[in-house]
Amino acid sequence: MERSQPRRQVAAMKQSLFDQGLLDEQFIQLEELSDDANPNFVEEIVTLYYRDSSRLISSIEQALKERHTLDFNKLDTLMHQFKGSSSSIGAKKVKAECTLFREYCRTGNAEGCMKTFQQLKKEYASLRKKLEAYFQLARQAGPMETACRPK
Amino acid sequence: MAVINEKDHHFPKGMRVLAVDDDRTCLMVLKTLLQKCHYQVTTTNSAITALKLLREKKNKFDLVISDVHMPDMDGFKLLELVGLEMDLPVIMLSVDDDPRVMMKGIMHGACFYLVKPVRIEELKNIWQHVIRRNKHDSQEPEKPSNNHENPDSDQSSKANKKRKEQEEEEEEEEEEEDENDHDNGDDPSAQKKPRVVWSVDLHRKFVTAVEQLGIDKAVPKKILDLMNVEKLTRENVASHLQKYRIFLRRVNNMSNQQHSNIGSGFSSADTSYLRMNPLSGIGQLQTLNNNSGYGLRSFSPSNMLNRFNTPSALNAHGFNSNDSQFQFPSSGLLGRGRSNNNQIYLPGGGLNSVQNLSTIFDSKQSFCRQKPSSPILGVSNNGLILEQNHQGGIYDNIPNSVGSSSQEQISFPSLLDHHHGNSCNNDIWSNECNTLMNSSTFQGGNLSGASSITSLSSQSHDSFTDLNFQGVNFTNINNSNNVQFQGWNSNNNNNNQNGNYHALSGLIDPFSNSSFNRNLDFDFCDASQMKHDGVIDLTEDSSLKPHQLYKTRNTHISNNAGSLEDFVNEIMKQKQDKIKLPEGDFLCDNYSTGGTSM
Repeated sequence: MERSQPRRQVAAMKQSLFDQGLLDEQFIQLEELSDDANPNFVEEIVTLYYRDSSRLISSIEQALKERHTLDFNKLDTLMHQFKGSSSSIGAKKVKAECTLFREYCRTGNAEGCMKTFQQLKKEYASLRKKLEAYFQLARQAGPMETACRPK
Repeated sequence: MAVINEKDHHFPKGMRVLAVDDDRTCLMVLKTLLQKCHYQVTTTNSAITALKLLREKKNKFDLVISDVHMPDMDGFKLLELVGLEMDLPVIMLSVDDDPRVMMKGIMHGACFYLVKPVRIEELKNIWQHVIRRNKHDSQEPEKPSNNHENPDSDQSSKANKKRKEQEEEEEEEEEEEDENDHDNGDDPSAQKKPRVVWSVDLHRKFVTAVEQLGIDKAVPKKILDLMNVEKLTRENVASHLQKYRIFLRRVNNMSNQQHSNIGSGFSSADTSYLRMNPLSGIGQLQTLNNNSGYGLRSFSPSNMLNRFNTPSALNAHGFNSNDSQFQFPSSGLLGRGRSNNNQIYLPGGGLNSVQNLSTIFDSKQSFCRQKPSSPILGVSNNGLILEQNHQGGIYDNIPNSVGSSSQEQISFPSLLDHHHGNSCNNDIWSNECNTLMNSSTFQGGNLSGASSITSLSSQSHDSFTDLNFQGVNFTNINNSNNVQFQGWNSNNNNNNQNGNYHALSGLIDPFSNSSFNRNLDFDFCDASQMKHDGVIDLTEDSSLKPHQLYKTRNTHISNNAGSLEDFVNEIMKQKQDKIKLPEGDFLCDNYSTGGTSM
């Protein structure tokens, strides 16, 4: 394959995502699953993730609106699910926020939950943007080779 | 192995996997990963659909991978059902890496528990579970009749499940449970012989034999002789005995834990149930079961069981008697809302019932396993520490439905209940139910649980010690925690509140059944349960006369006597305080009558 500029850019971008701690090993594994049959596997998964999880996010948001009578169990359950999805795509930071959120749920810390959730939403949105850019670039660069692990 | 044979040459390729996960992202990732391993994958995001698929095409799948948290059905429940009905290996999947939840999964019969995100390396090896299971299943030339003994397809599936659980247990216990090998001189590896299915009948015979011999003296050879079952080898008995002991121990632990949990949850006022099993483990066992309407019904009530009468009591507590019956974990016994997950779901408590035992064993898996996780359980811990630990997932799952108990229902091993005979069919569950109901609180429970279990397992002395120890911690609520378990006398029974008393009575007087057992009156399920085990009701002061209890107890508990008595005494003292005299009188009455129905 040719070492085109875009490819290098793609690799660099990916590396930076890893360096920032936004993605983890799971993402690599997903990329490894891409093959001729599923060339855009990762992108598909990520798209699916964002679609499904947006519903979860709004449910959580809704539940958090209760302010003073938070149903921690419900929140925990929702977040548990969200954490599962996030970990499946390798969204490292998002997953960490989920864990933190669940801890707050466990201890019944409403304020902690809200704060963490805000943070989580930020991370979630930021990752989405970055991944979108990444995929776009990757598409431009041509079919991806098997992912190489970032250094 | 039939299935596997077909694909032997290129197994595991083409292994047919059913993947269930409500999260589409995860499901898609999983599917792709599995396909990369060259498995044939079917996916669904509904557990109900999964079951339907499995039922329709029983032999179409080799393995099931399922998420734990699903909206339409709990993963553990699916696990049970699959195990029961189809006997397929199930791998649990979850983002939750809490060892307690893992334990629970394994105890419920999962072959394995994977943490998300799943890596392909892990999936590459899952086929081993299929092979292993098939191998075990095929090694069961003996006792095919075991299954026949259970005319119910339900029962046979239960037997299957038990078998499966046993299998799981065997595999998992081998490393862990060496220390449990008391009299059992068998090498755990002996368990790998052709599997014997411990059906209800068989188990009942086993329990009867153990009881006759005395838990301390129950050696496999003698048990085998007493059981007089063809084709049963000493090794089979030995391994079963080992499990039984472990089970008892776990029950104890659990009850302890439970209590602690419950204690916290429950109003301290009520005395926790004291499940003092230890004493009569054996005697009590007999009584167990059947009484309670509790699931154990299916067991033929052992002679003793009836003693405890009040089967209804159990039901009252919310156990579902019968539903649980063998249903392992799902529902039923625990009464808790969640029953399924509750690990401890011991149907029909009562060790006596064979079923119980099996269930116990099965459940044992669930709760036994808990043992490690929860510090509380360990008898070694402070005893009844009523802390709320939520150590084991088990307890956590205990639905609070039972009543208030904020804590989980103590899922004390059924053993405890068993003693009551009716009361709580040994199951802890019943206890829990009871407790929950009233919630009185088990606090004491732990103690008894522990003790009972210990006693059962030939560690009686140990248990007693534990009991004592625990008893001390028990401090339940009302009184000094260290109430010694005075005895289960009927005195206890009368305590309405204290189911414990009843339990106590139960213990002391296994034959007296009824009386205390199940105090269903108070919903305090535990009480009843406790009774047999000698659960000490730390609940309100009971006016039990310690000496009375003690007396009775002593007789029965000769083996365990030592500590147990002390424990009981303590408890009794506590109870006494709480219990008004009239109750005491009543108790006395019971005492003499040997069992008043509650």
